Amino acid sequence: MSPKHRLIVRAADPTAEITVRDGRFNRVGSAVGIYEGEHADGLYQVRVRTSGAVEEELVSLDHSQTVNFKPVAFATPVPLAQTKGGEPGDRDVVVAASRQPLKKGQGGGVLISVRVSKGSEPGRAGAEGSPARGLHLCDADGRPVLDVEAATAAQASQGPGAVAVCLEVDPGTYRLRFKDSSEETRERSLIVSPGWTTQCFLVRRVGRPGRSIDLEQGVVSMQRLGEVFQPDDRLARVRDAAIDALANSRKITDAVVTQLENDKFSDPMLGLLAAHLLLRDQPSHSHLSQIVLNVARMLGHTHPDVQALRMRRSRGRKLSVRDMPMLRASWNLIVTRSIDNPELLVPGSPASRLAVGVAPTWPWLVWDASETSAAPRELAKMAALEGYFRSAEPTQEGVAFSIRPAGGQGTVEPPDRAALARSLGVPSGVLNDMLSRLGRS
Amino acid sequence: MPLADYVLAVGINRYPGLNKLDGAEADAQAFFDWATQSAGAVGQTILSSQFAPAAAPILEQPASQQIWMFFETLRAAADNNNNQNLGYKAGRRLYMFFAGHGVSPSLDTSAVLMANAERSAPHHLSAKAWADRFYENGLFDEVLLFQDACRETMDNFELTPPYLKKETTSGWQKRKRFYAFAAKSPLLALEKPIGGAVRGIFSATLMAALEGAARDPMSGEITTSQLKSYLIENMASRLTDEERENIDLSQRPEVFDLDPFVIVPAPLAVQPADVFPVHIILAAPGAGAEVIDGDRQVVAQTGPGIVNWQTLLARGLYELVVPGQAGRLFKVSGALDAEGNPEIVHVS
Repeated sequence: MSPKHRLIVRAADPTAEITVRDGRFNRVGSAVGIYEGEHADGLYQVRVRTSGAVEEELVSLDHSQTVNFKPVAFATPVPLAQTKGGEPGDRDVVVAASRQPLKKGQGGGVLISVRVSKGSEPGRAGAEGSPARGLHLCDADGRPVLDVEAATAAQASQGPGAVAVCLEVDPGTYRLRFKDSSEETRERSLIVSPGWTTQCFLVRRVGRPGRSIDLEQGVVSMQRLGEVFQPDDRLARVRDAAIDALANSRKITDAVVTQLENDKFSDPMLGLLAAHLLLRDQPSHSHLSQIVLNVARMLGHTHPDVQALRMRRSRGRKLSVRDMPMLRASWNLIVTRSIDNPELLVPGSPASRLAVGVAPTWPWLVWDASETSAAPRELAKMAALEGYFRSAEPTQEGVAFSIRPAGGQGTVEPPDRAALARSLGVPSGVLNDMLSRLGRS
Repeated sequence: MPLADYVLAVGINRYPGLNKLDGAEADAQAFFDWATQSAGAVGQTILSSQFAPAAAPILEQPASQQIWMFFETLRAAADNNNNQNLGYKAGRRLYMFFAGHGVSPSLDTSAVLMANAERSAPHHLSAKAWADRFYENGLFDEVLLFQDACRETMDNFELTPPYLKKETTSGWQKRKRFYAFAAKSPLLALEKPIGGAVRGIFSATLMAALEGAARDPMSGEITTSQLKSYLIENMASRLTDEERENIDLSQRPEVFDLDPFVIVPAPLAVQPADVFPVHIILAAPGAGAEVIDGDRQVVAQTGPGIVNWQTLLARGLYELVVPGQAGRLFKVSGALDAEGNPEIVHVS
């Protein structure tokens, strides 16, 4: 029998997923952050995955040893050190913008950055105008606060790199709007809390017609008001991994929570992400309530994402939601709760008006905002709903597609309204209206 | 009596409302043939060529209804088994294979577009959501989903959720899933001529794996771990250099193997493992060299005076050992090149 040796794999990223395979590619171990295992003398393949990027090393394990992995360079809209995408100069642009906020209010901040992804057409970078073309910051009711293209015109004239703008604003809800050449308008929330700067990092893709800015892929983070953007912020990499985990069902929740605790819960965005990961993977985790409470203390109890997270434990309490949260997972909590609490969304509020335009994005909440784009979105939801019910109809072939419980004998059940609300991203009121129009109420 | 294994293989080439595809039907047929002939499953293919062209794109088939009809046969099988006190279970294992256009704002909303899809009306089947539902509701012990389709975003897309209601069932700890998608969102899956016919590169890699290339050289089994490793290591080898430069094309499949299990058991008769060409260039003609495998067994050696050494090795990790020099680790992944020929592993 061959001797055994200890193999330790240390990833620079504490949330990196480590996989160890033997000489015939059988998985013999896995862990997050640090791996420790005893293995027979032999050859092994070690892989480390962070935010969708993978690095690999082959190991000859003839003695106990430690394999250290440097930070994996993953692609991200955030101009962080040791990542891919954009140009190194992008970091300087964002740092400079964060040093000189424009005064549009006081008590909170917004930073918006747009990098350029040259894709397979690097020659076109710069020929398509400002990276921020079509981007506006609006207030909670949709009134324009800032034309980002105009505010960053001087940077854009320097060449085909990133542009960024930082504002000091009054705390509250803002909407980041992108209107492309086809007149379609998409929006997402940027919630500004007192004492914090909400940062949104976007990418414009060169050569892509239509939605050249992926509003739904833009990463949001938060930094203490007045602090300068830190390209080597260690927690930013953890945030990016948590976003990947939420979007792609990666199982790194414990590592994310540990990092949050190690950091004394100082990062509210990471707190929001960790809370949603826990709700998804370990809803009875003892730290969930504490995390939500800490985030609420930092961002305020009226922050829409905080409100959404607190709904899970507030049965019977009167709740009201006015504004759209930033995360789709938060929105799903709201629409699920609206089934039992139809008055949840304040009538006439931005959230009640915009709900019908919610697009199927993840992990960020994005919606079609203009009449020209919200109407087709509503039609698409109606079509999906119709498809759901059509499946419950007898067909020409005489097969009854019925909604019934397992083991039931053709019992037709009412639709699962909570599942429909989450799937379509609409609250109870909108869903009921759609069902009514389909004659299904 | 063990419950049956089922297979549904859907391939759609004809999309009057979108661009046509050339390899989806062949991919679905190949998977179906493997599942029924080699894996012993029963089921059906649903291919666009099985239906007459329709007068309008919206009437084109197959549409979701044809898929639902298959799902209804599964529910009928579950009813039947339940009546025989075998539990509410349709079968032991379900294979679902889809090749066609796809759309995917996120992993959970991944869908395959049906033949009646148009840009303005993206009719679809939410393959991932259906696979999850069969798993969650315990209709099968094992659910395998393979989806060779793009994962683009699409305007006006909203997922139609499965009409089969989610149930809380016991025994989920014993259930297993394996899902593999040709692309991560929002990348494109590629089809191209391979071996004289147009095939999806994901499907071609998958079929090579299932037909034996992904067998563990020692045990002979194809496990979820082996299949994942094979797909991830080898799909990109089917791409040309130019295709690899295209950032919109999927280079690696997205594979979920959360529940390890054996997909294909070892053959009853011992079969030699597939071997792949390896070209080793030694720095200088010396006293010879040898290759050891992952268990440190010598699997190839050459005598003195050789510089260019060509040998054949099974999939795995190896070390080139030359007296007086540091060992050189390399891997043989079993990759096939863009022409479908074994890729030569170069070691120097």
